[in-house]
Amino acid sequence: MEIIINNIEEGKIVVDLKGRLDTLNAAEAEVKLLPLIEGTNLDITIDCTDFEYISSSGMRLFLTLQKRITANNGTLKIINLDENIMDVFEMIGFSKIFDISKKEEEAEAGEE
Amino acid sequence: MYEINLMLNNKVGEISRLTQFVKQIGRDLELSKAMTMSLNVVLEEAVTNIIFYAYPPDENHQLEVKCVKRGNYLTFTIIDTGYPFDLTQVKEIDISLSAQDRPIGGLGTFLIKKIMNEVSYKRENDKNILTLKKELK
Repeated sequence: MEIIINNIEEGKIVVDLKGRLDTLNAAEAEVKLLPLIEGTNLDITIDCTDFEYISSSGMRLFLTLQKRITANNGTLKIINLDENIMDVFEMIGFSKIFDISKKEEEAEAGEE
Repeated sequence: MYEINLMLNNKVGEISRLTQFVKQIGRDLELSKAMTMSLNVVLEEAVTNIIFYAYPPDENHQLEVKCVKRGNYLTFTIIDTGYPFDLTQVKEIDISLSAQDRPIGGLGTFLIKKIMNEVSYKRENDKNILTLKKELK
């Protein structure tokens, strides 16, 4: 797992989340991400372009992020999510809780 | 018939060996990426439950994950000697709740039941035996 934090402007952060978020590193990810969302009215985007796998511990972290950001009048967007992960998110009702957009695989392939 | 087994210690670091195991099954049976990922989520949850909660802290134990494919069905059997725990009895979460109202826990068990076609449990000879069955399409 790799987390790259891009501070775009005051209160606006784009997080590149890469690789696997599982039982082994969910705590590490939490330590990195929770301090980012302490402010109010934040605009947070998690870019999942290179995100491959999420276990239930990772899903719990996503839920925690959403709860805290919303409680502080902020917004959380999840973009470029892998279709398979999206399917799992739909199963557990995350697609209704989160603002998610899927990865456009074909569009990318078409450009090459 | 296809069969493959894995022995794990009750240490959280063993999750990476479980991941490799699932990847191998995916390759061997030419499963789709979506199927392999779903199975990984399920097995990681079931095994993590055992590693974290089945034994007193600092005790070393082993658990076993067996995988058998018969016809169109893939069956995983997870066996441990820890405290009795019947995952099938865990209360269902309400996925229709908003983020603010949703409890943080219970997701993993819910996913296991949702992803697998059959989930059954028995306690036999002081062992927890969890059987997870998935139909391959």
